[in-house]
Amino acid sequence: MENTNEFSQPPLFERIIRISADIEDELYLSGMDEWVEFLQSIFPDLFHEKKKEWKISISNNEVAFPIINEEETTLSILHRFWSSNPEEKEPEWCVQLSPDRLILNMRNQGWDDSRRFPNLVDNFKIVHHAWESIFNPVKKNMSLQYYNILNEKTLPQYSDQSKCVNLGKILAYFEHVNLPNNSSFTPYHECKFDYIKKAEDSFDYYISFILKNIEDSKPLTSTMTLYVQSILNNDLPIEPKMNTLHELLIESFNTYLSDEAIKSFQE
Amino acid sequence: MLFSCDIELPPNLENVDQSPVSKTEMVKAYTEIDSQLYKSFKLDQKTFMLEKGIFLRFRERITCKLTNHSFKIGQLNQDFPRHDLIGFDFDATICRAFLELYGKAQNNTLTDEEKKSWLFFVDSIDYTRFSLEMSRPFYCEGTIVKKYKNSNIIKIEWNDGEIEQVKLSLNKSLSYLEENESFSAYVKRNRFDQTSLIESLIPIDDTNSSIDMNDVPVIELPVYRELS
Repeated sequence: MENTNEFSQPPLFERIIRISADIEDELYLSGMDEWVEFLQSIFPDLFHEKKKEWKISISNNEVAFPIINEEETTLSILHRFWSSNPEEKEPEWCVQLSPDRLILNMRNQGWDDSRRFPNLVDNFKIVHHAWESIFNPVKKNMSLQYYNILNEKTLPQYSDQSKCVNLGKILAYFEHVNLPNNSSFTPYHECKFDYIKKAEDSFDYYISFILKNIEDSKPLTSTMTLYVQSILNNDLPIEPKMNTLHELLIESFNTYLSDEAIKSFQE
Repeated sequence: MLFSCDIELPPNLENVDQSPVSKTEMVKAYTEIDSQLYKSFKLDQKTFMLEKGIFLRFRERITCKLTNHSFKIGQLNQDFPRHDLIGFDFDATICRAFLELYGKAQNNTLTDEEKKSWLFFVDSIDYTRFSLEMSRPFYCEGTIVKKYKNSNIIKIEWNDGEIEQVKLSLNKSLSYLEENESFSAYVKRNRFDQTSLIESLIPIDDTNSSIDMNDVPVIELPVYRELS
């Protein structure tokens, strides 16, 4: 269970849980109608979008420039099931499905963070149960991802007159970096930290922290993503796995955030 | 703003110690690619469903060729406008093209151009499996041998003596029958000789079905004698 005393006011935009798996083509195609019927039963305003996903292979030729390998360029379809039509109402949930993965996205309206990790777990258990019984997937790994938005709207207390967020005050890694105004986004165009940790269940967990600027965003916006992934197979129950992923993600937040940010996000 | 769904894929944890640094990078894009940059791409999907239980299984991924103003799917003798690529339904287009050609092939009305497209399908798909799946179901009788609690499996003895475990999902009506109850149905078999479809299932009153001719009493008919 989530410790609600921790990060009661994070700039959290979206929580994402994902299972990578293999589903047989025939089962995938045959089960789609039943799957849509199931999702309609939990989301009455379901909006189905078929999103094209291009996989582009770029070979790094050491002599000349990178080459796009057309033989490897593939087009696949990712089915997105929104809890409401995004053009009419901002959706709060999205289920994404392809033969190799199941994803549940949970988003809060108006930054009130009224839905929290237990809500994600509860809904994912329902979705996962149906997915398992309809598609009979062979599970490979599971990940949890928290997607934070950093800008003057979400973090007014860390914004300066130039409407830039002072990342040096939020992230422990940049606390002692002497930057002009100590606030500019530019040096942090993109940075990523990865490490692998063995958790109490003796599995390896891949933990990733990614900071990225959204180009041409107004107000100037960065995204801060925390990502934890671990092996999952059909014999392992999902709920303890989700809880371990979550514990490590919170631990990771504590590692990367400055003491001042931790304190302000807990208020 | 879009829902995020992927970040750069992390290494597979099972192979983390031995993963070599790859010279090739896979990039995923969710917006439409600039099709001017490409001359061809492949469809990731190799299997297409015509209807429940009937599939087109391509042996290789289908290559789509792009020209300045149009694109082509495999060797199909049809050009689609390039701007249609946005929102194009490959599933529906491929299945429809196949069904049209299949119908004409059955009636021997394919034109020379259509024959080329038809050959593309015949050469590329597992046609034997398709033919098996496309065949009509046949009449069969069976008896429920065993029902299992909390299981979606049921054991059936078919009238040819074969005992088979089938999934209840093949026909929900199977769950309404009791052990030792007989039924008639139209059945399809797959290439492994397993039941792949059960439809029009009707319970049979055992007293009226599968009559053993040995049990039928022989009635002595009066001998007809012509009067002289």
